[in-house]
Amino acid sequence: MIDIPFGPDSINGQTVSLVLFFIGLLGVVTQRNIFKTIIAINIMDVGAILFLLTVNVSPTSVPPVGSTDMLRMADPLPQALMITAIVIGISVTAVSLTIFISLFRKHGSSDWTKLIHRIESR
Amino acid sequence: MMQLYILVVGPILIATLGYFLPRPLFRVVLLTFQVAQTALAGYLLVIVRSEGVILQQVGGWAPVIGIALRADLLGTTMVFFTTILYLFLFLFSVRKKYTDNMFQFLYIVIQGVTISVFLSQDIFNIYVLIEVMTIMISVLIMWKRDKQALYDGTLYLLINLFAMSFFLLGIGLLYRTLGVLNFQAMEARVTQVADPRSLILPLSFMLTAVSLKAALMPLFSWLPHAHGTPSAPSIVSAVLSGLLVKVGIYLFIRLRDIFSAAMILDEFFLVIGAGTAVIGILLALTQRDIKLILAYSTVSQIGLIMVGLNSGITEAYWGSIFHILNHGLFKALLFLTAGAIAKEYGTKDINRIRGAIRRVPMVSVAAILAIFGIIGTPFFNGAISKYLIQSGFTGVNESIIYVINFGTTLVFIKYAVMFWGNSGVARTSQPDPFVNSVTMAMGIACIVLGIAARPVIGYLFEVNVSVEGAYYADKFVAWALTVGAAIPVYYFGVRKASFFATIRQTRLSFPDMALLVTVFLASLMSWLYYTV
Repeated sequence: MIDIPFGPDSINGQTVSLVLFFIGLLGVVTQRNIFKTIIAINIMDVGAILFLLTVNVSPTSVPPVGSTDMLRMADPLPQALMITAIVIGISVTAVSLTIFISLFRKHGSSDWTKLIHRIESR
Repeated sequence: MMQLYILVVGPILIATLGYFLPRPLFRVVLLTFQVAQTALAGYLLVIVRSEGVILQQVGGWAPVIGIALRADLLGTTMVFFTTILYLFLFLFSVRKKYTDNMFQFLYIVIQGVTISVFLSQDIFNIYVLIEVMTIMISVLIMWKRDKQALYDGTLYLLINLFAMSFFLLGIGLLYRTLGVLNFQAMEARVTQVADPRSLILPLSFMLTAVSLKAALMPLFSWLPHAHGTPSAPSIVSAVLSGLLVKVGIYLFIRLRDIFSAAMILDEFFLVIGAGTAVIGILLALTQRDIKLILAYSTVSQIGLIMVGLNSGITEAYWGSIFHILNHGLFKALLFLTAGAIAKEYGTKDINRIRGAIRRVPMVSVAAILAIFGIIGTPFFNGAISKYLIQSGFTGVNESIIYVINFGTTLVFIKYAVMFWGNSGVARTSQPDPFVNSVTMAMGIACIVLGIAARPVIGYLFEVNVSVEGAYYADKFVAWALTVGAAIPVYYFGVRKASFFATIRQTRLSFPDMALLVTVFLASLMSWLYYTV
């Protein structure tokens, strides 16, 4: 019998978020399209945000709303922080896409390596 | 009792309100503001020096839960340096055409955000501030929107966002282990962690992001793009190279101090620092664009600072911190003068600029003072900090400092060639009195900091280090020998080497840089895994 370290139990927020983060990392390293780079960075960000949301949370915890039992309450601090992180994520994506559009209009390519050659040849 | 948040909120409020004022009025408001801000930061330094560390909770939260602002000597010194540099840069740019209200808005908000990074004690708060800073800087890099500025700005924005997602995950991992985000509380809990190995993962993620911010080997590929963009205004390049790259080093110092109880990072970053210094010099020697030479020289100086910080010797440590300020001063000055010279000549090619000292005398003299500072001429500020860094090493290790010094001298001999010779053309543009006086004042500041180094270091860092050795005759001899040896090496070796052109034409694309970040993370993690 082979001992498999991953079972159904290991599909939880923490592992999923780490997997998401590294999928995003793979995307950034392998994709040459700027648009895909922006998406991949976004996936990494989402992975990190999801990871923080799973900190100090167990399946039995209750939302930190009202005067619930302090011991069963999920940790409210990461949740409050992640609202900020999500907002930042949205804004940086918007800025990146805006810049990407003007870059594309200027140089007519969305490929990192092609862009280097076009800038060099000017 | 002085409220620390004034230093942070002040610039942001003034920039926002001033945006709606007519431009001449906004300029007057800004002048008043910059003078007041510098005075306030100086006053803060005096208070912190006499009464000790100031700790304040923002928004009246209980300690550890909310965001705390804390002014200690290191942070306050950096704040004071920020305000002085901004005052200089503001005066420099008074007559520049590009400083419209939108530009000033972005530029001044960065000041507030930087000061906030130096005062904040909350690591998530610092994450937010750095993201804000990244966006604003990328807009400033692209300010003139021509040639490759858009590409450089995009590259800067995306590589920094990419690195900051590492930082965010690092914060998550750290919070899971320690349960706090406040620096002081973290420091206290690190000592109670049962297994220091549980800190490897969060620390390596965070340090990867910080190393990219500080442009260490091999993560510096973005820096020449950002600092050396041909069309970026020179005050933007100056503030980037003089101040903002130091934010990375500052965060490195903080993280290192917090985790010092659990793990020692010295050896790894000593090697990385030495590598950064050497490779920065090599790449600087291959460049022809004057701004790119300066940008790569920043990389090598960052390496030197890291070498001193991680030597484990008190003198070298404080020498490095003094070098952060010194480098900020003379590198900002070098970028400002490079901008003025390039504007006069209409080119940034080092081979086409000759006789600058006759065509733009004041600016050239200031630039030469800065060069004297950076190559460590006796009586200049660079000599003191380099002397202190060097005193931390003996034997074989000391030779690396000699190599770095020799390389820096070589780079700046290449750079200084543009001042001599004959340009054949008389001055075309009108001299700008603000440009002349500000660059001159900064050049003189390089000497003053060199001569008054001991009281300055004693006052700023509350340490008593002996710098007298830097004034001894053997230092003069060593300096003269270095310069004397570097000139023939440059003329008969470096100038003719053809493989430099091959290096110059090699450019890393974004996916390659991202791969290097991953490699750095993996090597840091495995190094920590085998040593801790």
